[in-house]
Amino acid sequence: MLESLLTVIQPVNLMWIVIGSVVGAIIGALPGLTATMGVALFIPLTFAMEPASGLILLAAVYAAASFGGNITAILIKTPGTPDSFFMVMDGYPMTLKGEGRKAMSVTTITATIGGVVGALTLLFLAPPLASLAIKFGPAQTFLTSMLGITIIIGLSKGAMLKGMLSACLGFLLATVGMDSVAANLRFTGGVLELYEGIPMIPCVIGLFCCAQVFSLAASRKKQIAIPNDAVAGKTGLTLKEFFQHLWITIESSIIGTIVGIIPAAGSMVACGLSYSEARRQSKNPDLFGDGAPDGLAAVSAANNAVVGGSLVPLLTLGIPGNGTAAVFLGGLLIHGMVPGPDLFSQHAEATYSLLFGLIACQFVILVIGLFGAGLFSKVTSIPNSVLVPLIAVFTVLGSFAIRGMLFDVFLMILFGAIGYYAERSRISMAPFVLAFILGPIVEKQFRRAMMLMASGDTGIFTNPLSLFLLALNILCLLTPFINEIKDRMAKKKEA
Amino acid sequence: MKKTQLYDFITAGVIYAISIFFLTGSFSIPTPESRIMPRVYAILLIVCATILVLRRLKNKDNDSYDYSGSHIAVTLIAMMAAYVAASHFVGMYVTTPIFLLGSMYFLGMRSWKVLIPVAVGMDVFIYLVFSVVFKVAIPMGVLFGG
Repeated sequence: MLESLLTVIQPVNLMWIVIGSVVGAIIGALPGLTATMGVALFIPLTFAMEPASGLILLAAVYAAASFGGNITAILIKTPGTPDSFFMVMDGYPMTLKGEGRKAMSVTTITATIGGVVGALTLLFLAPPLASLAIKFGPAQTFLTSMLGITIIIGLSKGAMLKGMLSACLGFLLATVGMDSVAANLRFTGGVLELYEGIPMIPCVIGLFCCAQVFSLAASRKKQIAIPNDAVAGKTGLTLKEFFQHLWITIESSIIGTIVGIIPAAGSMVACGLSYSEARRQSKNPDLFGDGAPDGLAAVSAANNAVVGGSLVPLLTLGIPGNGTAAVFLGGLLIHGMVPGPDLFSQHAEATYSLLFGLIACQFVILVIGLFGAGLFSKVTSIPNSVLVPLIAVFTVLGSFAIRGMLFDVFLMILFGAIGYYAERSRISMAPFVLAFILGPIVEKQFRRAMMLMASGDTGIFTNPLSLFLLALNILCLLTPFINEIKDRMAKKKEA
Repeated sequence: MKKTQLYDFITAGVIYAISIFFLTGSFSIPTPESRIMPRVYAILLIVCATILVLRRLKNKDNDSYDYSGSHIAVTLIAMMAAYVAASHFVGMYVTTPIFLLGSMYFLGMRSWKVLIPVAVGMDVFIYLVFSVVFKVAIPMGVLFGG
């Protein structure tokens, strides 16, 4: 652990933390660009770096992008990321009252506390949880991987069918290339570049970055204008006010972390729960929605705490807590780091560096939020006619950098077009990416389990742990159907 | 037929085509065990696509889709593909500023004070960050012996 701490405070890694946090905050602040896109865009850059430095950079981008969306949400009522939606409710009314500076101080300080709580939970909870994963055999690993996918499918709100479609397509495309068990070539069409399968990074960049570029271009929005006096107000947060919000901040941080740990529950759930809890406890509940600093503190803390929480199931079991964590998994895999107990033994230095790096970047976020909000709000004024081509070039460079093949760039553009069409057709690509990344693991473990069964070990799918995981899978798949039936019955009763 | 119905039918049609390609392709895989998963996924896809079509026919889904501005996206896709193809021949240091100038102009930027610095600055950025720091071998173009 001490070695990892020393790794984090090396000048080069501190530099990556600052760069990742600043760029992440800009990405988060720019409406239309998301944390998922930021992480996907940075993965190729980390390929040439030491694993510890690469993961620190990715963590900084992830955390800062989650925060960056708050800036525009509060100052111009435009959430930079979908997760920042809740910041609008009390943050923007504060700006309208001339308390923009105070609102930025509240969101920054509470987000930092939330981020630190989430990261500390990750630091202390992940290693013991990962040691549990050592008891997993092929059947349990298969069922756990499937669980991550069934949860995300189940939460494809109101569009479970399209979620399943997306996941099945991801699984199918993951079978292209050399089969990892019998070494047969499958569906390559003789294309040499596909022998190792469809490359993951161009696929992820295409679906999350390139598709977003096309969407931004198609939106025809020129730019987001931010009034110069948005960051107004003489004072930030006083010490007295800080202590007034401290309890709700800690409480919301804990809520955010716990919700983050639950796969696919996500930031919106965490913010919603924290907000209603803060309102319930408030002496002035009527002020909520009209510029209540308590409400802003609660959602900011919860939103950032989700980051650390979402990495707990990812690092221990390989189950990403949300779409960004799924892309983060891709970042781990290109450095040869497979989630599970090995992460905390064989790759201990890089893993603990990631955890300490996540804590360190919270303090960079603090500086950005307290002193740079005005500057960051100006960055969002970059016209889309400049922003879109620039990001397009970065997607090209990023997808080329890993293998040095223009073939990968064409693939990236193809996946970008698919992602654009899917977004317009309301098909979530998160199940696709998760299935695409986990597909080879699922198939390998399933076939190993089948081999064990064929050799006489018939209990591997019927032992208590397997049955528990199987039941969880079925429950996750059935829950949306049960909810739909309940809704229908309720509607019938009303009628 | 409603336009939104048509889009779901197009989606289902593409899914059918992909599934059939993988199903037929699976016959050429020598080991039977290696065929199982692709076939399972392809069949599941066909089932999902069929349910999608049936739900649309019965008007059970009332999603409305917005494809406005897609011609801009399609043009940008074509520009990016041309940019990458040209990079093979003349190299990325030549094609990147051309792509940036073309796409920025296409998207409405008319100020040369912005167009030129961004196009040239990006080349400098690519050289310093990708070539010098990350040692990425940027394509120099076959015409220039790269």
